[in-house]
Amino acid sequence: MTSLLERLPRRTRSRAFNVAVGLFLLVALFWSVFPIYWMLVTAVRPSVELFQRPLQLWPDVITLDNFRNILSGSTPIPRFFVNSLGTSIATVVLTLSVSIPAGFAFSRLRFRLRGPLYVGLLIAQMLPLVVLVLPLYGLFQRVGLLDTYLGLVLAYSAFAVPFGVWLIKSFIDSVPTELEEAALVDGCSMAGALRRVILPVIRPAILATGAFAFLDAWNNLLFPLTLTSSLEFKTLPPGILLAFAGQFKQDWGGMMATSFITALPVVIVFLVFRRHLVDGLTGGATKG
Amino acid sequence: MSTTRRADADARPGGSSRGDPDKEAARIAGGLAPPGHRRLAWPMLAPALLIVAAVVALPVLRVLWLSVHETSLIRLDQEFVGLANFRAAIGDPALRQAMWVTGAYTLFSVGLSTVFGLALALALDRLPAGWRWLQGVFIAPWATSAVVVAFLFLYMFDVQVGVLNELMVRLGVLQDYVSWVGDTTLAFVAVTVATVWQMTPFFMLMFLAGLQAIPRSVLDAAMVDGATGLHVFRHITLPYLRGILVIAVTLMGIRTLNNFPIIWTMTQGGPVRSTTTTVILIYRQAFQQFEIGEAAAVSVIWLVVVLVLATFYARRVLTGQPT
Repeated sequence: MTSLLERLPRRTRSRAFNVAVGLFLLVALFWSVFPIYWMLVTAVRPSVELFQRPLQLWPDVITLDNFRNILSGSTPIPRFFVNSLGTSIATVVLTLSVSIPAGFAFSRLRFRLRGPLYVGLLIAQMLPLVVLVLPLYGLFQRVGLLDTYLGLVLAYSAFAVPFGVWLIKSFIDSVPTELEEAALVDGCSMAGALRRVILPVIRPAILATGAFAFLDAWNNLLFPLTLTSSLEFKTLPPGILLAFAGQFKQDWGGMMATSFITALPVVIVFLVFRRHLVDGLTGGATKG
Repeated sequence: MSTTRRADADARPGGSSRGDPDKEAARIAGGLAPPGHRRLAWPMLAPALLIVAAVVALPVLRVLWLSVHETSLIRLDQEFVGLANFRAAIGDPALRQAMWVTGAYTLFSVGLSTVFGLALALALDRLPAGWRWLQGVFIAPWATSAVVVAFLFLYMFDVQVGVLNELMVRLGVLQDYVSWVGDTTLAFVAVTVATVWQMTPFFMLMFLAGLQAIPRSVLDAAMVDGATGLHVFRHITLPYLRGILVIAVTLMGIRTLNNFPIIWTMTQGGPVRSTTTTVILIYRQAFQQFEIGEAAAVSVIWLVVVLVLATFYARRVLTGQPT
């Protein structure tokens, strides 16, 4: 990819303009990075330093006390972490196992109601979660899914599955049909063609779907807040609300340390799958 | 029957139409699969459709039902009340206020994120190749979980230890520390700032992708015609980005209208409802005041608003219009 700059006439790049752009980027960099820096600094400095004035922007002493307190504290934050990880991974597995075949069917097979069902899926991924959670609470209560991992995973898939089907369908659309035609002519079954020909080619879409499903489940506050009531089944987002919004509100160090632990897996997923996430988003917007 | 299938086949994007006519006719009649394989469609679709039916379609039907009944989460008896819940919801000034707050919150958040995102994309696109890693740094806010973003800004805006208060006092913008989330106007500002911080990188990414898709020939032609930077921006860059702009704004607009975690974590809708958006109002009515009927009625009203926007988005995506 060549940048726009390299493709522009030379005289549009005046020195003063470049300096202005550089300054703007510096301010923007500060604005983007400072809050994250501040989270880290607060997590590793002793709490007393936060109340010193003038406030120092860098720590005098570095301590891991805040992280140690998470492990030994009264709120089971490690348990929340495990719950978050487990339900997020389960959501990824469920989403991928149902959206790959469905995405294939929407892209390659003709069946009745194909158009309306596809539009329905496209709209389903945009419905407000709050509107869904009110009736879901009653429905889950009836079938005993409140306070269960399965209930959480099913609720998360309200967004992840429609989104996954759509993303995988759009990606398969862009794969030439000749590939599977050759496989079918060679005597492959339809399922065999999907497994041996399509799957390897759509790997980027599978990774993007998985990453989005993970991020959405990991970050979800509303569903675990409402659909679980016991601490045993809470995930990190409602868990940290419970732990730090309320009587312990002054424990900023603990709050930032927990925030860091909550943010870390997401950042890892982002760094590893960055290209696929961006392709998934922009591909969806530019190709459809 | 056969005409609908034909329409479907015609609508299929990316299908090559060359090849011998018999094969093409067979494909139009039966999709890609040979006739015997068409039965495969439903088994492949069933798991996904069942899940969506259970956790999306069924709840939507149920909320419609709830909206015309008087019920509660605790009591089990329900009574049909017609449109009473809707009348109560529409007559309630809280809903009107929530709609205004939602509108303002979405407008400011999406508007500012779009402008900042565009500026960042344009600036980053000018950087030499060795500086591309900066893009990764600028994505960081978007990679941060909403609850974490909310905590982070709650902390930085805090009246006792908030570093933003400290910075503004040092820069002379403020006389003394201000309780941001304790003030009706400033709480709205704080929530909006947090949202913009998280959302800006999304727009940056979309615009960067858009900028890189501008064909070289168009820019060469502009150069031959002697266009200045501003001309190029107004007559080439902006028109090329319009398609992405519309889709990104609609998508993030819908997300922001329904943003729950940032607002709930930072202010829980307060002080005095100054940050109570429609989704916060629904949550409070349903899970704190247990007014299920009215919450359902507000949900239905809100669903209609979101559906209109979602349909607009779906049409864009389905038709794949570049502009």
